[in-house]
Amino acid sequence: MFQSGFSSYILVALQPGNVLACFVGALVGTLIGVLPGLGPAAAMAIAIPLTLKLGPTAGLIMLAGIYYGSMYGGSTTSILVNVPGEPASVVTTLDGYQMAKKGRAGAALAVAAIGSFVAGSFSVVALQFFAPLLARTALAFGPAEYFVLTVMGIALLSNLTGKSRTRTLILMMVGLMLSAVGVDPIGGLERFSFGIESAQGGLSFIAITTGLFGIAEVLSVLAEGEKPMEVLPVRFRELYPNREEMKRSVGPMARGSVLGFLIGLLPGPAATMASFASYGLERGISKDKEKFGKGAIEGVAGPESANNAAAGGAMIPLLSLGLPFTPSTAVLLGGMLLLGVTPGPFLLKEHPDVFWGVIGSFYLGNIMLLILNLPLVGIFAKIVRVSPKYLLPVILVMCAVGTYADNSQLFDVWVMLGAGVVGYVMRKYGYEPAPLIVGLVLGPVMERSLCQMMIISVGDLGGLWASTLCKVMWGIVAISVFLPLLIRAAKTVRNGGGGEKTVTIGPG
Amino acid sequence: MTIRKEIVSSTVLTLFGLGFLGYALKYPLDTWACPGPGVFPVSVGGFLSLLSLWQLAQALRRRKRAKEGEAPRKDPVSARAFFRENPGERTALVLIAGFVVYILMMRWAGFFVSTFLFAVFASRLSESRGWWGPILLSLGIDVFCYLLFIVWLKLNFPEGFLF
Amino acid sequence: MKRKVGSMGETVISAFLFLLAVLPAWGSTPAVAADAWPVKPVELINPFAAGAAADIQARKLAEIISRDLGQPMVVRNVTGAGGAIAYNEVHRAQPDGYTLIWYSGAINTLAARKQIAFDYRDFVPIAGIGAEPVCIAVAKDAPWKNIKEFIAYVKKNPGKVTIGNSGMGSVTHMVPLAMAAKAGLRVIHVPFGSGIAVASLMGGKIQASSQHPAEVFSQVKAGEVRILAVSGSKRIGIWPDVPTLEESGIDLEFDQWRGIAAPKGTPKAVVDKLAPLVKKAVESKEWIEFASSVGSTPQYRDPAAFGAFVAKVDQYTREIMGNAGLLKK
Repeated sequence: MFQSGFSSYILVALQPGNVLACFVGALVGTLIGVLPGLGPAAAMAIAIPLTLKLGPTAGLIMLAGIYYGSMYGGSTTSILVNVPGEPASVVTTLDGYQMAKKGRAGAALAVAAIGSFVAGSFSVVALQFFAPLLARTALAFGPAEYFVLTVMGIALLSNLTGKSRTRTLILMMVGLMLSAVGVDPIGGLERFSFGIESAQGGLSFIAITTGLFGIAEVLSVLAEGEKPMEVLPVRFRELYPNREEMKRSVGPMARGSVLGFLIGLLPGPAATMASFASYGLERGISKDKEKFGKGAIEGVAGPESANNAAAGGAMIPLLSLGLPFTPSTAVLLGGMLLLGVTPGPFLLKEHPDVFWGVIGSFYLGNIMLLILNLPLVGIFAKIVRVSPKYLLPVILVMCAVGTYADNSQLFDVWVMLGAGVVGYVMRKYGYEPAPLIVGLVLGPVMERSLCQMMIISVGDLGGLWASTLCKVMWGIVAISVFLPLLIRAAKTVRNGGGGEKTVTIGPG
Repeated sequence: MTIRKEIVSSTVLTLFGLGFLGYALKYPLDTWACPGPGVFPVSVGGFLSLLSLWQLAQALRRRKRAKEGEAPRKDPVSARAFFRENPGERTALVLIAGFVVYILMMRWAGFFVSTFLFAVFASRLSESRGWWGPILLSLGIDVFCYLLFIVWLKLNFPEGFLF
Repeated sequence: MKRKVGSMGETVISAFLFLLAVLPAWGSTPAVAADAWPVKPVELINPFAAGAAADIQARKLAEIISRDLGQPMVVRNVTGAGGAIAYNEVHRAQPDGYTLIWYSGAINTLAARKQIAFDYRDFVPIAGIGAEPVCIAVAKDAPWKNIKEFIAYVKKNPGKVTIGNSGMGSVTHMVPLAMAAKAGLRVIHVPFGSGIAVASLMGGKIQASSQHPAEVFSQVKAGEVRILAVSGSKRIGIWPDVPTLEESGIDLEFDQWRGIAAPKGTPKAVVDKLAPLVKKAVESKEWIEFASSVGSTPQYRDPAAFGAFVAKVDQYTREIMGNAGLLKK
């Protein structure tokens, strides 16, 4: 049923008004993405009154533009100044910033943009052809499955940074603990708020990310008196990825697209999880794990493709079932209803112009974003050479403003500063803060789904492995925990028991 | 990453985990059929405590093993001497203090005034000489924020006596 | 970046600059005369997440009101803690008419459960806008044709049937609670967020779900979900065939009401100016069509009637919660 309008949708999207709406949306989205703090969901909510004036098709095209534009922009600051513009680009800091330090900022930016384009296009095609089928699959997940999925996430990502597994797990636990602050998701009891009203709602995920990365980075630069990066002047051609870098990026882009798309089908902060999962995957299957964290282009190409694909995947439950699984798609749903459009299986029948307009705008928007972003690479890449005396104040203020704008709470700015100080100390003690974000993202899903599962199964823990899906996921958890131990044991036996170097559990 | 740092950080994390665990125990655990708000925090708090204790034990074992070859540890230095030797750390502290003033100020001086002053302060702190550079930069930041958030997105920022 | 020792002096100067500029500002708060209200945008604080049924109604209504207000009415989402944060913020705000709350049954349930330290008496009612029922939804292939069959089944299987709702203590929780109390049922209430409850229902993880119409109407239209009954006093326009609980023999009528209120102490002039504008908006064809399309029944209440109504619901809410053992001492 989805193919019938194939030829007409491009025409809808190509109407001048719609092209303009798409461009403005993509531009604003990129800007929001570049700014630390302020996330896509809040930005779209703020922009709704503006889009209402445009009518359904153009309005939705603009909202959608903001939605995927923000995924493009998020990586820029991750790569250039080690400050992620969106939580979904946290993991890009690990290798993207290292590439910038080596003078390959342009290559990293270009690969991120190309990966986003590839993944974005892939997810629209998948959306167009497989939406109803995939939407059914997403329904196989209930509370028990979500809980096991979070456990699987933690198990698979426990070697995320390639340093000590214990340390990574510790940080994930701290993230989970922080996520428990605020009113509990089931009974509504206030926890760990210490009488602070604003803390009832929990610690803002965006505030913590911005602080832990943005503010902490500024403090480190100030404290260490780091010089502006001395990037060798490069010729235009060298700004872009060379043949070898492109070759190494193809695999990660393809895998990131598929993985991100599938994760996008599930509830929760899909884009963030997708980027982490992709990084974990790329590191896991790489023959040369050592280079990760030191500027591996795979660590940029994979996650940046994955978060864009997830943004596309999240559209499926929305468009084919009318169910918003992420905060961003919830805002899109709200925007649709306000514009008099009901998402769901009837969308195509009742509003083919809107449906095809939005799908068409995804294609068009992706192309626009690529055209918009690639020439900017050259300009952005110069930012790394700007003196910190200009950069630091701008980053600081933007972090504060963006964090405030996300929910209009001054408390969030305090949280951001606190997280910044903690992040600064953490770096001094050799703790890479990315795993903390994983815990913070998974925490609410984990707690809520565990409680719901227990309530549904009336206290029977067996509900955790009742379904086949759960059993499969537990199997993956078991493999990921025991396989490294077995491998190590085998190595120890072969080397004649010389286990002197294994000071940390798990391999490298 | 020295062993000493590892020991210090593991100890702090263990204490944090135990403190969190102790505090979480005051929340009800309720029943299996309806887990209370204490279940999740108690579990993660306990898990963190165990993990950091394990890390601490590993580090202590490593120190014992490495003790012979290790250079004599420096005596703890006074805070004053530390900051004299590390002017960067001092700058970072000053920035944190400035940030606190900035957030406190926003409520009564308004967003734009505070942001302007804070941006001037921050750029002076990061080694700008002269006053014109920082002032122009801060004005630019203010105008950008104003256009984006107030004019275009119609957000409300804390207002003060001027704006 | 080169560090030079001795920059401390300049730092101190910078810090001094901070204080110098702000000292004269102590205590001077902007006072705006109420008779000229509004001279700047009016904020409608919305305790619900962007995109939720309550949010889109707030945004639509704010847009209609803005046309006559002379200033934009801007909706701002302040989410978290089941709405407590938003109510706290408005409760604390200057009562100058520029901070309003998108008022609903949450004030009753939050206050009853002591999640906020005040109740409806701390707000000035401006206008009642309407109500939307709670509906009992089941999956398309569920064995029950109507609510009577469902109740009979639950009676035969006490403590086995799961009903999802959008959060403990929410209005969607109150209805199955009261229904269970009236009909003598034992059900398992599963607190969810909105979208996930419907997905779990469609995926067969729970047997029924208690939702506002706006959260399920597109799934109902698609034939994925059936509605057994609605909780209001009348059937609603989008589902003329779905009976109310009362028609099905359960003496229960419990709606989610909506309206606009301001913090206590807001000048009467503000209420007098805004209430007629709300009336005009609520009675406009555009609003009636929009509200009905998301399952809400528009009904304007003037400030006095609205205040009395909220007080009545408050008492009823405490009754239901008391019976269910949800009231905190």
